[in-house]
Amino acid sequence: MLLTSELMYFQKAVRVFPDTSSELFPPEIGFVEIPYSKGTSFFSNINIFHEIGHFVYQLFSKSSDASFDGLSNALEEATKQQKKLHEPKRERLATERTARRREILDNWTEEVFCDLFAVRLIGPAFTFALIDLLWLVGLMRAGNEKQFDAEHPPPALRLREQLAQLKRDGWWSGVRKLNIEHIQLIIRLSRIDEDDYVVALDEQEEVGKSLKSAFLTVLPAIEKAVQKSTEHIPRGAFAKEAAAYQKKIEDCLLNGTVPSRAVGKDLRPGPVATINTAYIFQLTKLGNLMDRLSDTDRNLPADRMKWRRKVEAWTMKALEDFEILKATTQ
Amino acid sequence: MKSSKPQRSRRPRSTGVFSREELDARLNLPVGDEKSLVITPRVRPEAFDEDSVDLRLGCYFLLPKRSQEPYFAPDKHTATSLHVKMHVPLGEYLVIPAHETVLGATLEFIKLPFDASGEILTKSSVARTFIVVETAPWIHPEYRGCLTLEIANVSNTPVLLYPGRPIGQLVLLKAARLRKKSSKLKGSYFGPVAPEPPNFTNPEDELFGLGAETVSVIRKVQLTRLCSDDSSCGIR
Repeated sequence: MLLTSELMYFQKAVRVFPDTSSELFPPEIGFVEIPYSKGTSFFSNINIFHEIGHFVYQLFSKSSDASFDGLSNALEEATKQQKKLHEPKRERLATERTARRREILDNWTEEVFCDLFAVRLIGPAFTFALIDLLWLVGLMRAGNEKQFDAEHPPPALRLREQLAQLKRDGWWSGVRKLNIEHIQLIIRLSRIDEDDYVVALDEQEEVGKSLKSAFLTVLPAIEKAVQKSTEHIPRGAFAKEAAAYQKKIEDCLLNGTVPSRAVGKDLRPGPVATINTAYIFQLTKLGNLMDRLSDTDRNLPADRMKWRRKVEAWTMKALEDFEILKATTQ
Repeated sequence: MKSSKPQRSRRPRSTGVFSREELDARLNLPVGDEKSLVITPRVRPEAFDEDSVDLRLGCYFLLPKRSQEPYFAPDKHTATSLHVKMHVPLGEYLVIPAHETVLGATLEFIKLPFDASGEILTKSSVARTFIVVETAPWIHPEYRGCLTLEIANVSNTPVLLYPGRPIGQLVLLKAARLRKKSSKLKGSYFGPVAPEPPNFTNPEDELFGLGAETVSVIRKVQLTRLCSDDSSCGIR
């Protein structure tokens, strides 16, 4: 991971690095760049799951894996439709323009795939971390939230698709009643009509509109590809586990204690349940913890940051402890 | 009619070391109970003795920096300037050279009850290698966190320390509470999961308050390079 001014993912073939043993590394290495401001924040770094999605997407799509057949076909079909609509004549420039439109469709598809992949892997914690990041980089402003650009679909559509995934995975019923801005935002943006999405591209307006329509037809195939690439995660299992341990983990954090104390004799919450419960605690009950401490003011940003860091540290410690407990009880 | 006997204040309850049974009972209380004891991750039964419980060495360390300054002045600057953080994963070891020191922490995160103080002692087998882990062994009631260990190798030989191996013994003592329990917990040194550097104020902040009219301090010194030919080869 590289600390830079923005969050992004790129991938390089291992052969481009001198002196790198191919036995030690996969053929492709993924790099995740993280903003300096977020480098030390555990909860914000959950965005890395989206970046891991890029690695998986590129791995599957390059290897022509059968899991991606449906998605490839849907993209192919959407591209054909684009060509038919806008490039009836055979000419070199038409081919280039079609390739450019295909590239845009690929970009949007990959982004939504990565979002849903991250939600499957880590649950609502990803959506919350993404919202924090989008706020940070200014993409949650009213003008931006409905806007497609050449790289990304609009935040409104991304959150709508994540909401659907959270419902499919059984998380939504547990988090929808949380009194936090994140939930209100997800609900508000997911209700925005598709017709209100704006396409900000160099192409003509009608091309942009038809690209948007073509992309919307690809969405079901993205969902299926995500499901196939994460088949090992049973639907609803993480959400159920988080609900079962929520009270115990929150009690630990509220009492300033590492939540690995939450275990039963041979039971322990997995990392997904621990991270989500702790993240939700930090969003909803950090003030309650701070109220129990002297010399701490829940309204001071510096104090809130200090105790947010503590909750993150306790969460990370719990994850390490669970690994030790797993090894000692096997 | 008034009694001629002098008025007595309330007596503190008798103090004593917690037995294994008492430790067990406290560990089984809900975490929100003010009398609960937390030691996590849970230790194996063999870690308990009749009156103590073994704690293991954690994976995080603060190694002393080699400073350019020819002294150590405890002031506000200390917390960020004295040490380098280091993680030693389970299965690896840290070498403590002869007569060197390092800050470590227990693997276990503990929470003490409101009515108990604690003491961390070097495990006798470790002490016999001339490794000392405690110079500030006392733990206040209601403390939460991994315990910072001031590890010193006082032998003439480098010694290997393995995170995850037992290093200290925790003993709990009943604390007599004459005052009502405070409604708020102290936020300083609260809940660390790794060794914490010392937290000092600048000396003048404390000493002016005691009536000192002047306080001699050394702030970051300028390093001066002298040349043998006495020319002005520069002051950096």
